[in-house]
Amino acid sequence: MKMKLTAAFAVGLLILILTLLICVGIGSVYIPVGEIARILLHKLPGIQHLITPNWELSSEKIVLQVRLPRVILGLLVGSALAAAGAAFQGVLRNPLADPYTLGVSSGASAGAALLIFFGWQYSVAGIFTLPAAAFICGIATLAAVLKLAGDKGKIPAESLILAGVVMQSFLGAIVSFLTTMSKSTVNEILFWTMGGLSLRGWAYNALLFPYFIAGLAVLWSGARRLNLLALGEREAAYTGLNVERTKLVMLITATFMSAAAVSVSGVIGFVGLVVPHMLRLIVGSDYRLLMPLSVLGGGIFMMWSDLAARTLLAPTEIPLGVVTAFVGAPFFAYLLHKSKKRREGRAV
Amino acid sequence: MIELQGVTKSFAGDPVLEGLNWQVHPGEFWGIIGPNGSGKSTLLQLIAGAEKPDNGEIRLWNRPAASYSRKALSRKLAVLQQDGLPPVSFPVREVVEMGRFPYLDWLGRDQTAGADLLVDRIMDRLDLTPLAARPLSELSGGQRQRAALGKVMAQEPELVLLDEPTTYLDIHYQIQFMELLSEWKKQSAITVLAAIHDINLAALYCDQLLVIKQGKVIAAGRTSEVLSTTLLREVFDVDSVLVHPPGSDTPQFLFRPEGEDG
Repeated sequence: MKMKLTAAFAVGLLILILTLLICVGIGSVYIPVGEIARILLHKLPGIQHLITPNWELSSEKIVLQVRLPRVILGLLVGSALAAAGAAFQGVLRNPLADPYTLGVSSGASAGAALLIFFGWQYSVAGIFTLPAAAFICGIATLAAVLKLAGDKGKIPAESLILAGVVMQSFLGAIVSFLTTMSKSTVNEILFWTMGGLSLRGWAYNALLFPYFIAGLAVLWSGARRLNLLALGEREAAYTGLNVERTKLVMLITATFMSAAAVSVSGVIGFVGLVVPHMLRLIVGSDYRLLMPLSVLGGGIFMMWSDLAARTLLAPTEIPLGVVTAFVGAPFFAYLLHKSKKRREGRAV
Repeated sequence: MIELQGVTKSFAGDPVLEGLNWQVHPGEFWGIIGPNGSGKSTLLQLIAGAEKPDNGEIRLWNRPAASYSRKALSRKLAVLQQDGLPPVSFPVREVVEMGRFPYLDWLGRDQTAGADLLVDRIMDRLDLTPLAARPLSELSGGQRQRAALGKVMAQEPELVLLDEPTTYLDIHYQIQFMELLSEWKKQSAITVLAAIHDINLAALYCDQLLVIKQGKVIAAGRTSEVLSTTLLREVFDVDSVLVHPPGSDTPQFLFRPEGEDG
């Protein structure tokens, strides 16, 4: 397991770094990968003197102040959503669960939109007000969805998705309503419904990073517990797992990460669905592999999606949520089809 | 080791167990027999802490069962469920290793020295070594049940609860499973409680029998003293004949349809 993880992680990391360099390079002004690498290495303490700056100052400005913060933010948001998705799927033992289909993202965005509408985004807890509100509304949405879908302690896959859709439409309506009602802040609220990474500087990275790291530590350390849960809740309990506590901790942490991601990027759907499933096909269902690889995969997926969002119709920017939905929704349909077939196969 | 006093449990108003008293001592091998819905599974779930009794007390190792944490209990008590393990894609070896969970510290390291060796030995003993890398989902029912037994053995419990462990197995695997179980019992001095459907299998392997019907104890004691055609008539409402197979001390039962004259 350890060797497999090391090998897969090394490959993933390599792809991640390449993706990052390519995504930083492509834009209205093209900057070669080698030059980006040198600019970045030049900023690393200790090896500065090894590299002679022979690039234009404007290139450095574009790389460090415009593109890099955006690409890194995409990386963090994608990683957070994919890890959260893997955790949701593990805890609920439901292949269709992710922050978007569960309505957690919509809940978080509704919370954020309400704050913005009333102009309270920095009121109670400074810059943490928005993520906090997004988190509380995300948790509340998750609780409502699970309550709505639950049937005698079990949560069938289809009811879960139905409940998620119900909450999504309702919360989406709230956000749209707020958009209509407000005059000055229209664009800012609209942003929450479609998701995007434009005009997001380093400050947003700094905001997301602590939540990301803390959440990831909890989810990754819970990988073994998620494996046990795959055997069934009662079996896991007989093997020594405190099932209720594990579920609670994982659900809250995953919601927390989703909400933090949503509060900097708006609602971006399907990342948490597509990435863990692709990885399941490649490395199997061991969460000790899936969790760290989802983090890499989510980052890679999001960086490419954002690249497509900002370059395909340049200078017009496609909302990022639209790009991921174009990829994710058909994939979702495929998974639904597959789970239906599997159930029919069992009935025979 | 196990003491049940006046244990009562009902689900949605329907009584499943009514005022059950029972004592189990270390090293005993109990079979629990009774008709469908007599409360066998519920009894095991109560002892395993998956359900709580409505009334009465369950004590394990002289402490209330509820006072154990899941982890602490899982080091002393392991359960093999009726459905066994689901067809997950984890390889056999990793499933057996999952049995070590209650012994892992927060970094995932086993606190017992030689745990790897222990798992190796279990794999060998159960003929699972050639299957080590195969996903559970690709195994036959008998193989999967052996993997489940391996996981339970890796837990190194003092007390093992089995809920109709042979239900889905053919006669070859039924005998094989019970042989593996009694071999393990001999070597590790575990205590075994097994709900069993098959009266003859129970007669062959269990030293003691607890007979329950509609949530009440009908008989409890040594298998040879408890089992009789009269008891089977009373509990299962069937006619049977006691036979002594040549070369065996254990009597077996032949069943015949009601009303047929022998």
